Amino acid sequence: MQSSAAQKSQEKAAKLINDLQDISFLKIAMIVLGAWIIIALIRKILPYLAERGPNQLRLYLLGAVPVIRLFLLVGAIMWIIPLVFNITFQNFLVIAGAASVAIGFAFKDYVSSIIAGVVAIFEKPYRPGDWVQIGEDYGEVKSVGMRSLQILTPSDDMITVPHDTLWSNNISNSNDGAKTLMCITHFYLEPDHDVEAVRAALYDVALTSAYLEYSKPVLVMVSQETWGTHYKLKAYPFDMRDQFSFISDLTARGKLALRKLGVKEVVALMPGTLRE
Amino acid sequence: MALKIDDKPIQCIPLSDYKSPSLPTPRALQYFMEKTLARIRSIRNQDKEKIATDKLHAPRKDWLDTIAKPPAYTPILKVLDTTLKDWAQEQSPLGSKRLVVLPPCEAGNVLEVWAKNHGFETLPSPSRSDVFAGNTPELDIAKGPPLILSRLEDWYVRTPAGLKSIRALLRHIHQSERKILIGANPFAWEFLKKSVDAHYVLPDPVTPPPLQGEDLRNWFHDLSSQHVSRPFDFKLQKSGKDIFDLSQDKNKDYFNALAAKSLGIPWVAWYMWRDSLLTSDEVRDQEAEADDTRDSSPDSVDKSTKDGQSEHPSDHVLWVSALEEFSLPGTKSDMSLLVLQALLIHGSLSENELIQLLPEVGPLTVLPLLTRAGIVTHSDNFFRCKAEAYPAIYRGLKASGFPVGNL
Repeated sequence: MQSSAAQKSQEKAAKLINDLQDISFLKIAMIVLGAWIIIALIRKILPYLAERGPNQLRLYLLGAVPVIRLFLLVGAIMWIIPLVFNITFQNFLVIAGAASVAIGFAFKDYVSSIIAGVVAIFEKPYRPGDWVQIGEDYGEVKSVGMRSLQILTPSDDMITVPHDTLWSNNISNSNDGAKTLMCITHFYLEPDHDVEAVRAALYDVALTSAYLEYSKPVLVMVSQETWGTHYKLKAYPFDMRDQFSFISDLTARGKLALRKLGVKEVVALMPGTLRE
Repeated sequence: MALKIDDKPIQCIPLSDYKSPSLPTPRALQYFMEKTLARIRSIRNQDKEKIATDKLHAPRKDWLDTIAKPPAYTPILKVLDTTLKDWAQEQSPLGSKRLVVLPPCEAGNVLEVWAKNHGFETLPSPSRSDVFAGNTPELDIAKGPPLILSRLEDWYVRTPAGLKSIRALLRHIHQSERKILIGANPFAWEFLKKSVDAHYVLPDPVTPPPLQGEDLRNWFHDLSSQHVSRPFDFKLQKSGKDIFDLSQDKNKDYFNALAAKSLGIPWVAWYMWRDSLLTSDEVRDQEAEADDTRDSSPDSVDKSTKDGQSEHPSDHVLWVSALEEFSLPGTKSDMSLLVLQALLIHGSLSENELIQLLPEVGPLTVLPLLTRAGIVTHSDNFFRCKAEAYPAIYRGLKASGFPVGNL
């Protein structure tokens, strides 16, 4: 009797997958459906609240979406696995071996992106609401999915970037979770002018912008180039979504201020153009 | 620190210590739930009101001016008297400067009125066109008696050339041996700190403390009982009870809510109070007939007792309705907020001046929208933010990340 019970227990332990009649498919379906619905709601509600709520909460709400999704997915998977698989150490080794083969041959890049996505949630090279440069693409991170992130560029293009870009490319984050970022407005002037007067004028242009963030500094950098003098007006808008309006405002009023000073801008020649 | 109108005098507080009155948390939650439910279900509480709103109208302006007499800054004058008493005396050191930041949307000029009351010299501000042009004013304020500069926002515009006047003024203030009292609104102060480092030249600002619910109740009760030839009863529309009856918790709630919604600013609360007063058709018609035939009586008759209970219940009832909620009109861009910020920084602007100060090109199509929504007022060719809309404006600017102070 005892040996029969032990033998049965051993047989049961050796089974990888539970008997079909022991698997509650309805329960599994409910778990999957419930997790899917909650994730879908979170992906809709939090960005909605972020756009309509106070500015200070926007980045926190957007950043919470991938974190909550990760926890829900992990929770759902941890709940389903014991319902399907007979969890023993022996079975775990079997599953790990099979998974390694599948990952090695077919899903290598996919899994690499997923793992990179999990790493990104903790390392935070980008978050929803951040403005990032990945390769040649610059834009706002709209969503961070399991395999990829989506960036909306200033030209209103939605670019999907796999997370595994993280392994081999630099990711330049302009605001890193802050509500503002530095905007640089360039001016290219002919070299014969009063540098201090120009710096003071551009400084005042930034100080009198309607978009200016008061708690951040305003800087005017100047460097001499072979063709003339290059000015960089560096300032921060109070809302980084206004960065392009801010740069436009600084450019327009900066050019007006320079014209009033009688300073001329450099005119670039097209290659092959003859000038007498 | 509560402001008592008739009790011991109260002084201005540091601007950084200003904290708007707030509703107690349970009451705030209750208010939020009521508002949310009313929005979801579009519940109208007329069946719970003592008298239906459609039977009520705004009273005549002359009535309003009698029972809530302008100006709205009377409490502030008393605070300034107390705060500046030592400064005004000859014993205080020469060259001492004081900066008072007064809440925005005050249509008069409180500091100038205070200066006139005390016989102080005021410094006339340059014309707006000169400021726009960057013409530096000729100033001679190095020596002399105490000087009052009532509004710093008259000395600049938010353009590069427009900073020249204020920079010149600050240089003269720094070099002056006179006692100088300077006034500014908080948006102007925040802008000047950033643009011209005004906080390096001027001292730390002070501001009148916020009015609490009890202060408002006392003030409006005093206003309603001054110079009234015919007594009025002020009844809460919802309950029908005397609004000045201190034994009623709902009355305390009303004035606490008014203090919270007005951010403790006297003129904001004053306008909100006036806007909430309604009269019935019958009373309005009777008054119109009586006014046609009666002679005005110079004697005021105060029928009220100390606790606000009327000795002679009258037919002249003013109903105190729920406080109006302002909300900023929805626009697709932030243009309305940029307009409002510019108006607050400068006090008042004409349309042409706004166009020069704002980053967008083209006509300002949001101005009619803001005027219709009761957010800004347009008079004498100038646009101003309305005082009663200021709390909504402040919340809107703060929620959108605009640089605002705590007032």
